[in-house]
Amino acid sequence: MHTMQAFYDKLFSPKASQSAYLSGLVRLTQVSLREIGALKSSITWDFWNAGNTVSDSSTRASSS
Amino acid sequence: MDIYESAIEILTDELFLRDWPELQSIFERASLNSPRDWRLPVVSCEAVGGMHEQAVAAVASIACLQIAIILIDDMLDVDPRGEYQRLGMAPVANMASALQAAGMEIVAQSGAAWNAKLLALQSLNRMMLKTALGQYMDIQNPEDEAAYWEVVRTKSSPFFGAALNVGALLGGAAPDIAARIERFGCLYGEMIQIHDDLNDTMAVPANPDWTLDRSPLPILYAQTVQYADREKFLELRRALPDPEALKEAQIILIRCGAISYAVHQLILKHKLARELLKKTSSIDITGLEKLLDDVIQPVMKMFAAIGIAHPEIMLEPPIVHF
Repeated sequence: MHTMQAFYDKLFSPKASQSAYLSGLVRLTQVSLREIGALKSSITWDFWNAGNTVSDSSTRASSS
Repeated sequence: MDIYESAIEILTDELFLRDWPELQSIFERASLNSPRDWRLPVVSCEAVGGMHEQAVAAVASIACLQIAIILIDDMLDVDPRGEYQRLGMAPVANMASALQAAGMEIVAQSGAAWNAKLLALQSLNRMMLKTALGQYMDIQNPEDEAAYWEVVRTKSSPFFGAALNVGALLGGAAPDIAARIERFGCLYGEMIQIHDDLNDTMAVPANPDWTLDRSPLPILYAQTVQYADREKFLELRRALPDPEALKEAQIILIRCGAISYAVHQLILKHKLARELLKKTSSIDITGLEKLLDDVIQPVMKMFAAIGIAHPEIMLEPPIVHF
């Protein structure tokens, strides 16, 4: 719990801009929903979704 | 014949699949996707100098065990996509039980040395026991970060550790090398879980995690940290699965740093895994490094897309104690 709060405090502190790493993570808080879509991946431990050929729930539920 | 076909052949010819059409159908559908995780034993087997043929039994075993875990997980999660919806809970529980035994039997029947098989069986058994405990802990809905990581380390990452460990053992690795590869696999598994959490929380329409009161990492962060929109976030969550509420809640996840935190954790695990590989001499780490590249690539792509001039800097987090 403290780790998350400490991260938040550092991320939104004025000093964050002094670190290239933290600045990158701050930039990530400013993106749009469309831009964050780039993070979407097929990486999952559920093989039903892993290959992208059976990727949505309706396909999965109906496949037999 | 590829590794997936070889694994199915073992299961069909030497075990029971031919006599169990429903189970055979599940296997065939799963293997159509060429599950990346089933290849893990091949990667570690080749890393220690083994031939991929030596890993076929481990692939078949890992396939059985992963299907068993997911069949059970879907029932515990009341996942609407689960096989139990189609076949019923009791028959699916029966299948999961058979698959767990089959996963062990395949390794026992393999042509590997007995000491390697014994260590492999111990590793797989330990993994299934840990995973079952993790599944039990997960349905208690862990409410803080320590509990979250405990669930990840029991429910999710042991599978990946065991998959790599068993491949290495059947490839002829010394036990200490196989154990090191297992630790690498556990870190890799933690990274997979973080990806899973990111995908689930940002999915549209709302993933069941939102509505079933589950707490994937970004949602846990947004509910835990003190920030201006926290109450609003909690209120929006109660309004789900309303699409507008989901959109607003997902924007808050981005703005409050919840997505950044998950990405930060992904980067930390990536760094630890790389360091572990560097310290593991006497094996060919090419395939294992490729596994890491695959899981970090979406993050790097994201940083490049949002204008980070040197995304590679993001793979070198400063030593900061948050």
